[in-house]
Amino acid sequence: MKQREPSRRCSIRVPGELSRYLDHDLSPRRWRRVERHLQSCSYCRKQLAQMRAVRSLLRRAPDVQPPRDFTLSAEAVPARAGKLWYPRLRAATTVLAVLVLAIFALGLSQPARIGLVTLAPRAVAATPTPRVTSPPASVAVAPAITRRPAPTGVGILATPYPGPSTPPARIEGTVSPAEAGPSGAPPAPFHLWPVLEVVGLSLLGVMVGLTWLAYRQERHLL
Amino acid sequence: MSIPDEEALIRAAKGGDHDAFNQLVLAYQDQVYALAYRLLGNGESAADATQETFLSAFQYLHRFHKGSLRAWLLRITTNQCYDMLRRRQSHPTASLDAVFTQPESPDVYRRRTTNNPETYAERRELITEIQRGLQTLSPGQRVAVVLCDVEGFSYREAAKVADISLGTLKSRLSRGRGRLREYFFDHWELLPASLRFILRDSLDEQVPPAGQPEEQIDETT
Repeated sequence: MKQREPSRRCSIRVPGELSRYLDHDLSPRRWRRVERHLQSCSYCRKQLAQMRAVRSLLRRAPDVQPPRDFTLSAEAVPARAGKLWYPRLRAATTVLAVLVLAIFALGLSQPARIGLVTLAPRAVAATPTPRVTSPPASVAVAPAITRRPAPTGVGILATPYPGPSTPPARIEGTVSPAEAGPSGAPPAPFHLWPVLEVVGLSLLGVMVGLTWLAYRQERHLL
Repeated sequence: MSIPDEEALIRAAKGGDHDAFNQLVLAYQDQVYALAYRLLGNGESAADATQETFLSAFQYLHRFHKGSLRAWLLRITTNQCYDMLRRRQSHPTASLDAVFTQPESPDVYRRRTTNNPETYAERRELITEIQRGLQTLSPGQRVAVVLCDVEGFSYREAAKVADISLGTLKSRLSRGRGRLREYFFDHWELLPASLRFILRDSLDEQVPPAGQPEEQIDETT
């Protein structure tokens, strides 16, 4: 019949502290606390006694003798291995991590990239296909050619045309010289940094994975 | 525990003298095999792990600079066994019965001390039951219990061999001992008489002094 102890809560952790008590691995204060508890708790005393009995049994376990010799014959001697991969991969991963951090830092400090944040709404609007819009209604781009009574001798050639005061047709999306900024040049392209960052992070991920695999294979030889 | 002239043998082995290396193998193969056997519970697997251990040791001996050669070899063995146990867990092929090995030779179970005049049959029964108990533990708990309670390593040495922190070792050891205690005492009637005798002989339950009350028990169902 299986003996079951009722679940109970003791003031010490069972089997954690009992195991360490068995090995005299407790601080003096905790040792005294466990001793006091054992004096009044038959459940923990029984647990401790049984744990001690099992440890004693394991210490008496007979030795196991190998069935044969494991000496290496001349033919079976393997070639000496080269250097381990893990230290080299770890060093390479560290260097790559520093490079990626530097790329991020340099990328964020680029003026054009900072400008991207402020110019983005207008610049984005500039990308779609430009549309030609008509200027204000009061000014005609190309007024219809009308015939009006020509002064004597001029005739049809006296075609009126927009005077110098009429602004030219405006194509949306362009930046007029007045709006281009002090230098007059459009913002420099800044798509290189995100590409570098993505590539750097991907490479770093691969290197971290390889380093971890090498560690798993070679940890007992380190 | 090291063999005489171990350092000279190691130096010679590093220089390519494989006779010197074989001297080291003969000195440590018993311990390596015993550890592998207790971790894997199977003579054939233990032999494979032992062979792999010494092959790795020969290939990487140039990486061993100082410290205990025994601890270094057992560390390789432990990791070999971990890998085999993981492969076994992901591809279970053998039945539970195959785990408990048949002795390959009459001397496979040696008496550990001369004060215990057990017969060969008793020793075989004892080790079979101990292995049954160890198989109920997780690999990590089994390593901790075997290194500390069977092989006699200190906490620090065992943590180094198992390549884990001291806190992790203590935690796994305490849980492993707790589970073994449950296994042996919850199946008391099923244990062989010799084992029950040994366990009963070791029990020394203390009787509380008269007059001292029991602690309040918070029983939960």
